[in-house]
Amino acid sequence: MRNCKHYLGILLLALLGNSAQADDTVWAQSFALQAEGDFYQAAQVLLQDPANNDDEYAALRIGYLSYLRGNYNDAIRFYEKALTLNPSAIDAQLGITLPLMAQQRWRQVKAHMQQLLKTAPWHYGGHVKLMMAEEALADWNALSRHASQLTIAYPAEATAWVYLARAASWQGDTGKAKQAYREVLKRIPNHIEASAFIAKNS
Amino acid sequence: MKRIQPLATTLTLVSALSLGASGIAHGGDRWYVSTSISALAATYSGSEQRNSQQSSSLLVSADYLDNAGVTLFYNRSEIDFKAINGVDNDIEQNAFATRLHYRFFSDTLAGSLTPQLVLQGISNNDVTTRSDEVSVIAPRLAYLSYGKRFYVDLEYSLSRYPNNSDLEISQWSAGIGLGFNRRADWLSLRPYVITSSDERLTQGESSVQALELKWLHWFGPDAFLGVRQLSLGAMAGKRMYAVDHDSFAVYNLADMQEGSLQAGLSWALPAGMNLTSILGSEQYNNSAINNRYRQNYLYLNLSKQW
Repeated sequence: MRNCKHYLGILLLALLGNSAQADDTVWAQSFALQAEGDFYQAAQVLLQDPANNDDEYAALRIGYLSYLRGNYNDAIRFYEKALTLNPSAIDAQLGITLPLMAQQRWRQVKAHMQQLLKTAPWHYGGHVKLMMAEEALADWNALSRHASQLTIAYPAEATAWVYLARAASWQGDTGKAKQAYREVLKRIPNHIEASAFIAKNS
Repeated sequence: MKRIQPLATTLTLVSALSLGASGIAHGGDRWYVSTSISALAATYSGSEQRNSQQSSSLLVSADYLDNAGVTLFYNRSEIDFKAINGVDNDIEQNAFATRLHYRFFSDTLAGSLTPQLVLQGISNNDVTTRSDEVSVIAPRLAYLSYGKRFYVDLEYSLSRYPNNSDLEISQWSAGIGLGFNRRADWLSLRPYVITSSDERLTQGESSVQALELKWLHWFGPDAFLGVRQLSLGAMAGKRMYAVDHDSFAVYNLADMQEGSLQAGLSWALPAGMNLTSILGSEQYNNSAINNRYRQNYLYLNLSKQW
């Protein structure tokens, strides 16, 4: 009986070892296929492993690979699965905006970024994507206020100044737009958009 | 719509961060509600029967994110007729409409498919009763590419005139739209085929065709006088008892429409409002009394996204 238990223990360890080795192979295969540009197979090797059914990282990977293939609905579905597995995941909130932006679903991009900013109020990438959505929705009042706040939180970054300038321009406030574009040129002296605006409105 | 609260420019980063949770991190907006009011004033040139028309409308639209939406519309119109033999048969009319749509996103088609249903009902005090109790049902299937550079739709409308010997008008129309010039311009074509269930009630015409052409141009932020959009439109051919579900217009009076021209401008106003004005002229023919006339109109629309 003792021998039997001993053999069962060895068998279990061997199985666990093989399983871990198989998992590693699956992930390595997926990355290798992605590097070759075969995004479909890179996702398939993960999908075919039952261990990945409820794996958050697998959902994120397959979501991204689906996006790369242009299968935006599948990408959204897998990013939503990742969010179900981990509702606090910033990665998934950011990732899902990729296929949503490709489909021009800016209201959903905005909603996801607002949700992300509840978790991480000053996440820079989240704010940039929110500003992109506000611009796409032509919500100049919201974009102006938002970009203005971001120039305080991230004074070294030019992006918020660009969005602030665009919003001011669309609001008809050329003076404010010029001032914001000058701030852009301090940070990026050869910024084409800022240079063109200043030259046109000098 | 929830808005991000402004921060004074003198706030330090620390205090700004402390306000972040309440100032920026709102829950996601889901519903987008917009309202618009509009008015139309028209005069009839060369008409033996009509003097003028006034019309006002209210529209409320609610969209759930990018996916679905419902629109409710009400219109009140008054047409001032010329007194004939001392009888003045002015028409006062109420029109109600609702539009439902849902968008599906198809990666295979690289765009969205939108089934839409419009229902309209009209009641008025037409002494002949022929244009009263009109109902319209109109399904449409529309496709719009992800890049918003190509649009196509197919629409069928069935209009019922129960007080006009149960006349039924079937209208088929197909919209085709192209965006170009980095999406600053939009050109659309809409052919119509309209058939009548009883040509005796439609000036001897069992089927008429028309073609509508529209060009939209969006200006940049530095446009003259702050104009945001210019629109030019024309219609050639014949339309009878036509319906336009973009503007919720039902042409429920019997005269044949034989062409139209229109030009419009839109401005962005403060507080997220938009103003649109359109000047237009439509040619009509009443073959029963051999009277060709024009309706010249000014249309104003004020809209706001909440």
